[in-house]
Amino acid sequence: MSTPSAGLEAAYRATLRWYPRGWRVDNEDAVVGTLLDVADAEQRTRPQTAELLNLAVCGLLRRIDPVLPAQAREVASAVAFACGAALSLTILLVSYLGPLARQIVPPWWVGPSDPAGALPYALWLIACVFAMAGHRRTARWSMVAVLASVAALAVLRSTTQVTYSLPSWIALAFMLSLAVMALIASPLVWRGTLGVASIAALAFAVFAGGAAVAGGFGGRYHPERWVFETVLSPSNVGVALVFALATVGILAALRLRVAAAGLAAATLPWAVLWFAGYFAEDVVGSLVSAAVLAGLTVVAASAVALWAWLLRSGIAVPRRLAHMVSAPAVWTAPILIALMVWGTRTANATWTTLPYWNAVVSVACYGLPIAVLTAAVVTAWESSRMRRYASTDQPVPATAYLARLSRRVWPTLVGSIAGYLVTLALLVQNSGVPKAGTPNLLVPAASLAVLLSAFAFGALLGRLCHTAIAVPTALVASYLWFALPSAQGASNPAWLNITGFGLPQSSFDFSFVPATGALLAPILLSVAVVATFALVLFLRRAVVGYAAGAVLVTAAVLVGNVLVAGIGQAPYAPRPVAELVCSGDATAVCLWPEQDAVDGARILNAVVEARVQASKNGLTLPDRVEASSSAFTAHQNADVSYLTSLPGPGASTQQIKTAYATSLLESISCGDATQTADAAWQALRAQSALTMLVGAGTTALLQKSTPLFAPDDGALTSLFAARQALDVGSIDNARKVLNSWRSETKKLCNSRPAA
Amino acid sequence: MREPTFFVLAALADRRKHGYALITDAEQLSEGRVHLKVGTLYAALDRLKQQGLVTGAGEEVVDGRLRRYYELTDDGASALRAEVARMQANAEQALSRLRLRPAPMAAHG
Repeated sequence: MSTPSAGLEAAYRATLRWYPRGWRVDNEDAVVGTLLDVADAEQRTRPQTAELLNLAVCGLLRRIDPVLPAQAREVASAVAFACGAALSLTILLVSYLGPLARQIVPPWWVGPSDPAGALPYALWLIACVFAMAGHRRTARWSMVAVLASVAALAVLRSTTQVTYSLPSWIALAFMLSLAVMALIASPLVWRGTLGVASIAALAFAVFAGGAAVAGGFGGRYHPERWVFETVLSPSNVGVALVFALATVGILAALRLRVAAAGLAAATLPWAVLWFAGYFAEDVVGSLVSAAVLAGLTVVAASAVALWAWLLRSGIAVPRRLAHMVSAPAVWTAPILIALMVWGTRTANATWTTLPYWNAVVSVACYGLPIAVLTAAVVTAWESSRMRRYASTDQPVPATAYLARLSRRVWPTLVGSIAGYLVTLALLVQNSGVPKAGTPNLLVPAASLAVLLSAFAFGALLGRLCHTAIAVPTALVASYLWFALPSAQGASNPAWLNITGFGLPQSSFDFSFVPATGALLAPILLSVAVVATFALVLFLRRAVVGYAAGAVLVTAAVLVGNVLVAGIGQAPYAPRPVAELVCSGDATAVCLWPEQDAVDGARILNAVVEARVQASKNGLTLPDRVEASSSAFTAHQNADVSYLTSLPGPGASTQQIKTAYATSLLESISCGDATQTADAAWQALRAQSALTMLVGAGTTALLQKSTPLFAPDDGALTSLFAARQALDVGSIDNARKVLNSWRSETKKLCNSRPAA
Repeated sequence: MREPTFFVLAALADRRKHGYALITDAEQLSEGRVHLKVGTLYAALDRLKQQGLVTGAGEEVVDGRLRRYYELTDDGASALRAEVARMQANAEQALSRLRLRPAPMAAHG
């Protein structure tokens, strides 16, 4: 054999290492033979780059095959491609072409949107066009160009100071993962997804419709970041992920393996988006969380491996220990109680100064997400194990099944109730203020209903699938469903209330009492879930039970939406104004009884001081000041100024003055003056001015503000610069800023018909 | 059925063939349109074997190179036949429509 041929053969064999070992043992010699035949025929002594690339890709796919078979890859690729197309079309139209076409030059936007940011989206649509036209190769290279443009933008972002005008890291991470997922199958399947165009059109129609309702594109510019922070906010994506994972679970249970694996893979880019958005605020925190998560996974996997080895090794495991380990409800119950108590203490810094009974009862619900997660996982575990035993035995009658399941999971139920009660006892003992009124017992009742529905959810999952699928699904789904809206409540309040995780916030302030809708909606949904479980268990045909359950749950979600929409999406309602207690002479300060009892004198003094300082600075304020909630008071009475968001008992004079200044701003506005972004910016400046005029320091306020929008003064390119522009500087300037805002607001209010 | 798959099956229709012969045959049958890369060919063969349409048919060593032969199974033959029938039916449909087309007029006026 000649030397060149030997070199060629060595190159081919080296490239074939991309294939899995087992495959190479079977096929390597035959493939090398064919490759050499082809090279001979083409009179080559060197390998072609395209040939080697083809071998590498085919080898890699061969390795992926066992996890994600070819057909599943096609499903994932098609879904990713369609999602990317819809997103690209939307963002290009809304954030880049739309403003251009309408000649909107936003004066308040921090820096212009860099046209380079549009590149990945434009390239994606080009890939779309080529795929539709059947130009497979060009379509694939266009998609590779998407990857390249994302990489280039990432380099640009990390080397320039002007990052506000470029796509965010979240957007880049999402586009990168979507493009990689799209590339794992032939562009032929992209063309195959006839739905691409319709999904894109539909997505845009829904989006445009929503935007039109909210005020249309005419007056506002929606930067790309806006799309990722509102439409694709972590909580919205989280909710979508829950539904996707539930669908994966159902497909797996129906033994539609290809579809389940494909959909599971298709959710990965969305998981990246969720993760990136969730942790975008805090890079160090996200790294720490990832490290902790990885560490916990390693510890858990090691524990499972050790246990398995112990059982197999023949070493005698004490019977009692074996029994404990195989009964998760027993050992999770004490951990659960500890976590619930600890969670409330750390999550709620003001817990020792809670003002009244309703707040104590509500805040004690803080451990609910942990309890729900544990309940779902433990029940899914036990239920799926019973299913496995049942398959070898006679079918278990429903009542016997229920009795056996209850025997196995009762410690978790008792543990979660105990966790609530211990938290409540600690809160009552530590709040050093007199309690007023009677606790609203519907709050713990709703909490218990939600907990029971978690048991039913876990049991259903366990009946549907194998332990290895049921337990992780219960963990992830219940985390996303129950805990995520709690963490990200502000961006999805309706969801927070329907799932029941508004409960801890249903009465956090003197000015609020729990809203009936926020209590009824989760109870309704919980009843629907428990009813589904009962139907599946007792009906002769489980399928009918599932179908009826789906209808029940959907109806409960719909009715729940109506219930919480009726209360303005908040888990609380205003407290009757008649309960206010007034004191003071020239300045009348009216507070809630508990406030008045503990801090009345200090609040009165701070407000009087602030008013004196304000009048020195030429600002006349109403004589009467009332404690109130900003969300529910119309603030129409010009003779009264309202004290909103006043901190709990023991607040410093500075804090009281800042709260007073913030409230003054709301009292002056006519309710919805801050709806547009430039009005929001002006309001922030006015707030800064008011804080200065009443003699409270503005430093804390400026550090807290994170303006999304700011006027384009030419040099405003960062958050720091935006904060600097917020600072009004001198008293004289503060007066000017306030007066101009007042006259603008008055104009705006007068232009509206009276309510 | 995709084009490369169709031509691999078609190339195996008459007798057993090894890898290189399949590549040249597919190229000939498609009149030069389909040029299979070796990685793609073996991926297709793996898939067809898994579907039971193709099976191994012996090996031999020529000039120190291993040649592995493949042949159509009965299932493979009927799959190919079904595909051909489908294409034929399509072609005949089109042809019958063409026959219905009025003969071109000699000239206007």
